Amino acid sequence: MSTTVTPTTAPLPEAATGAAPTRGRGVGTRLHGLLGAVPTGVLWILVLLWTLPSLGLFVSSFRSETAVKTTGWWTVVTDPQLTLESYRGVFSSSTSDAPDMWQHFMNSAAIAIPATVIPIAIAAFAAYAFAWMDFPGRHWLFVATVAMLAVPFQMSLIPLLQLYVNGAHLTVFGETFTLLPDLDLQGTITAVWLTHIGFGLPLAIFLLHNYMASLPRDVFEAARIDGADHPTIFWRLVIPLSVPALAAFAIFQFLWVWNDYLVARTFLSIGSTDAPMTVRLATLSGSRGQDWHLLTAAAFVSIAVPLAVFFALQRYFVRGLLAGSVKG
Amino acid sequence: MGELVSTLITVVLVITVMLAVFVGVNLLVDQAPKRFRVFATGAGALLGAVAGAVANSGGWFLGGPLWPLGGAVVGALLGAFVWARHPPPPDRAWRIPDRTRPVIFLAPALFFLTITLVAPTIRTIYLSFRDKRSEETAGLENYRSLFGDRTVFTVEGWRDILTSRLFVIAVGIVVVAVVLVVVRARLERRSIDFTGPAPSGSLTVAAILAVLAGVSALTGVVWNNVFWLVLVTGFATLLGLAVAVLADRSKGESVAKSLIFMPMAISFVGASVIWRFVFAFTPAGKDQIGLLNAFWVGGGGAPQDWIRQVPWNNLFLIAIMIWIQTGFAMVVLSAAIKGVPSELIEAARVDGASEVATFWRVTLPQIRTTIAVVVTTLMITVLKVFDIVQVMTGGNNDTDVIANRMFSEVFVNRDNGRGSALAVLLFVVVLPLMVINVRRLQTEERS
Amino acid sequence: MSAVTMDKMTKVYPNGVTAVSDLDLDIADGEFLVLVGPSGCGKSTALRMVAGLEEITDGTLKIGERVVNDLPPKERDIAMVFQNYALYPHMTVEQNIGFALKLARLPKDEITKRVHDAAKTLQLEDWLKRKPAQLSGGQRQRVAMGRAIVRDPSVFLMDEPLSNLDAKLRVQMRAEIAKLQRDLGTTTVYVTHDQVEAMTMGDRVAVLREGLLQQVSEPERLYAEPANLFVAAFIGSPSMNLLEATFERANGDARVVLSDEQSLDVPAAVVADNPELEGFVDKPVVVGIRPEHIFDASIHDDRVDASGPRLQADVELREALGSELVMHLRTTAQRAVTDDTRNAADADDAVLDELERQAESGEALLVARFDARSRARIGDRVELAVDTSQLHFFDPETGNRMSA
Repeated sequence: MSTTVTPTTAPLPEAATGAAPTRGRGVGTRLHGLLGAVPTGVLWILVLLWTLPSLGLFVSSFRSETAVKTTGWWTVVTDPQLTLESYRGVFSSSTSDAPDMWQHFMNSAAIAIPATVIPIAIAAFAAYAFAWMDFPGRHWLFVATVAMLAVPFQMSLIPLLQLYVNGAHLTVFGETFTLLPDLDLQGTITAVWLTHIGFGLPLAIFLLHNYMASLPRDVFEAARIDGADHPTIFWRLVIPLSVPALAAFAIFQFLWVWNDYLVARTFLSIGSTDAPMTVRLATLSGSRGQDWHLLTAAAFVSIAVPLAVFFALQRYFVRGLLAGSVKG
Repeated sequence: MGELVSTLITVVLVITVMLAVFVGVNLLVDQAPKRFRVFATGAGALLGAVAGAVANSGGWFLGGPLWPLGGAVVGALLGAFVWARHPPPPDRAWRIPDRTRPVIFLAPALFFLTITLVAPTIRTIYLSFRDKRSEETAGLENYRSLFGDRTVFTVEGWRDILTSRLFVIAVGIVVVAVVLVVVRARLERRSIDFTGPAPSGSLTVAAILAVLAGVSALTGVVWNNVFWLVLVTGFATLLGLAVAVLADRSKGESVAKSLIFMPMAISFVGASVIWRFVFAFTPAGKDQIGLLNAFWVGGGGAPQDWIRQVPWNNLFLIAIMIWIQTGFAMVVLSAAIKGVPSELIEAARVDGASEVATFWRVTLPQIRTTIAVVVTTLMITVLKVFDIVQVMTGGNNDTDVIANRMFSEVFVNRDNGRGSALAVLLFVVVLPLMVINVRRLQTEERS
Repeated sequence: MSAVTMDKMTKVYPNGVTAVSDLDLDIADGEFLVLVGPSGCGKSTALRMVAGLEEITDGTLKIGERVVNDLPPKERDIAMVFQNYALYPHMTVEQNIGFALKLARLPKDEITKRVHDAAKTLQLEDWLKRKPAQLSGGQRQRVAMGRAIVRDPSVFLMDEPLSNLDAKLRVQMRAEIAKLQRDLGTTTVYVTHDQVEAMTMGDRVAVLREGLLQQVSEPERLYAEPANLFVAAFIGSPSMNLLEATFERANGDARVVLSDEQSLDVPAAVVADNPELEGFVDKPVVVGIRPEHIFDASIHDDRVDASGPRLQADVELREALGSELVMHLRTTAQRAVTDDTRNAADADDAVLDELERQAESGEALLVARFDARSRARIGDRVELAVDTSQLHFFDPETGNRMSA
């Protein structure tokens, strides 16, 4: 039995083709267009709300001291009197309690760089071991490591203070054993970034493990047959292939440490010249309004680097965020 | 500048040493199958050094650093001449590198984690049962005094909730919503269903009002954390979801999302400073320099010192965190919404569902797990809030939170006992959230 | 170049599952041995044991004269081609091929020379600087081969290397791989689930089923003398027709009764080849007939006994291939359906259910290869002639061939 298909030319009803009756077309589509614009409108109102505060700060930082203390920043629209005096003041180190932001900027960098670079190395090894080596207790050790993500710094604060001051000792049966010698780290930047390394490890291990575990197994087997052992596979295969994850973590960790206040405040005394910008900014903010004009510029200097990193590398930051959305 | 340079040098040194040790130990272990004597010597040296350090860890003997060194030498000799005499059979020898490799790879991480996370946590729990200077035991005294302290926790004032206007309105909304749903169900012969957008929406509004009533009536550190938790998590998630949905169908989506996400890049301290200026207060008669007061005065009100006004000052601090965290919720939820297969949406469209219904009944259920992730992560972040409170008010005017209070106890009152107890309290509250996240991790790993 | 000897090689997983059981295989130096079987039969596991990617639970594995049970892969002098090629994504073709040599610390110019030689053999010279993502499936497969041959190992191991290619490419690569192996003369162990590949490429073929070796022989022998029901059903496409029948003796003649009205004469030579038949007089046996040994009786063919008994069948399906006709014919006979035949079908439940249904109905669907000149059409009743000199007999209990 053969079938042939004959093209039909039966007319289809107008409604089925979706063609609107010509008469109502104008009003209908215009209304639809308007309604479609509502979401966009609401969105941009929200966006405006969101950016106003930052905009205010930005504008204020270019106004004179008197201007900042007496009128709102929006008056800039009618009476712009822009100046760089706040920025100049913020970088001055003339008096002992001058903001001296440049020094603190260097301090922030001196804390953030080690705290970003070193955990990458340590965590990469550990993540590889968890992902591609087999050993007893692997699963539970990994779970425990990642679970530490949620431990708040408060739980380590006091003991770490004591550790950096005294070292760690264990007294058993009247005899004291030194587990870790007293390196006299209290009040130093080293204490700060050492702590950040420890607290950054769970996230690093989690992120890197996620990524490494998704690499195809047979590529590793091929490497083993080609004669590679674990360290070789690690250097030549896993690390090159894990660059996106390494980058995502690096950006995430860098911003986190750069923006940190609590850890720095804990280990460095409040007036310390070693303090990062967040601590200096907080101190400045506590003043009763005498230095408010400086506060604007200081705040902007402190957020300049994170903003730059954010806008330049947003993609990686978002990726780190999405993958590490377990971090608190 | 000098500090930075020396730090960079330290970093390079640390990494180089770490890598050198790593490569060295790996090479050593690789010798085991074929050149056992070399392996035995090296391993002996390592173990000897550790033994030497341990032997003198009590500081009993003289010549501190000589002990690890001496131990290394002795160990190397023992390894080369005693241990190497009894090499394991070939098949066992091949296993040595495989067995020791995980240890080598994990050791640095485990070392750091133990020192900075595990041991301190255990110690803090221990300290919470000791006195101010950690010299004598104090049993549960720290906890008792904390919960007896009415600035920390008290339920007095709960009656005021019931009489507050907000609460009455909330109850009213709930009653109206319930009545409407039941009546509608009866009329249309449908089952009683509270899950639709309208009932859910109105119940949510009622809940928010009830919480606000609580804010006005309840005081204390613990309650403040509760309010932070509920309001920040709730609003950040809702707004994040709203922006994700709105942006999805608007022009300029990526720009809008970037701008809303931007506050996440800056420090909490920086954000607090920004909002300091928004909340700025100048007495009546002079020009207002704060944005909020400018609107308020422009609308005919008297200028307010927003961050000192008990009890609503909490809300203004909370607003700062909402401002920051909405971007996070938005990014994660936006990715999830875009991940919903378009066939599902199209099928719903063909089945005749409206936009709202499609979103509510198709998209939302699909992103349920993501919403759970966002909520738990936000909760963990919010519970730890410190910077904002510390910078804006220092915890005064009844804005104190657990993390801030702990800080004061340790650095101002110099009370390690109470401070540790507060840290433990924070930990205990965060713990269930941690468990939830870990459980989710395990199920993810299995699939 | 080395021989590979497996002596009772066994793999039992920690959860108790036995993947490979007492595998005895002697692969000669330079031989191309194919491991074939349905999915889950243990062929890949066996290959990975030879590679060193799976631990050997019991038994011995020798490559050449060395016992290699405990040696890691790199000490065994083997090379492997993976099903998904497993190329290093971030390296160029040249680096991929040369990786093993680099690890072995060969001098740079030696590496370059050998890589270029391999590339030339595989026609990859123009692609040396590209990365795997830029290559087609067939090219990637050749890079994987290049990686293996450049090392000049004692043994090649190939794990279903062609299964990810489209049909035409597969046929082409089959020939290329076979030729390559002949030129290089390296001992090769090749795993596939495709029995056509197995038959065309192997010097010998080893059939595995659920971890156990069923038979290992040259392809022709495997085809002509399958050792048991499983091998008989697995090898050959379309597969052998297997029927339950009764063996009878009458007046010195032997015949096998398929149903009340149908039977076939069994020539004396066949009985002599299957001596165990004598123990099955008046008992049920399984008789196998290859599709090419069933003829349209109306077309003369020298292989058929002109006076022998005919079978009656109805044409259900007629597949005209041009060179021949593949006919599906329904006849009164009992299809043999056992675990062996089900496993050999290596098919999904729908197909297996159909087989069951046939068995129950008392009518079997025979598959035959008719001469292209046959006029039989769907719905016709045809007479079938069978080349009874090619009948196979199997013990219905054990499934084994009834031969000496």
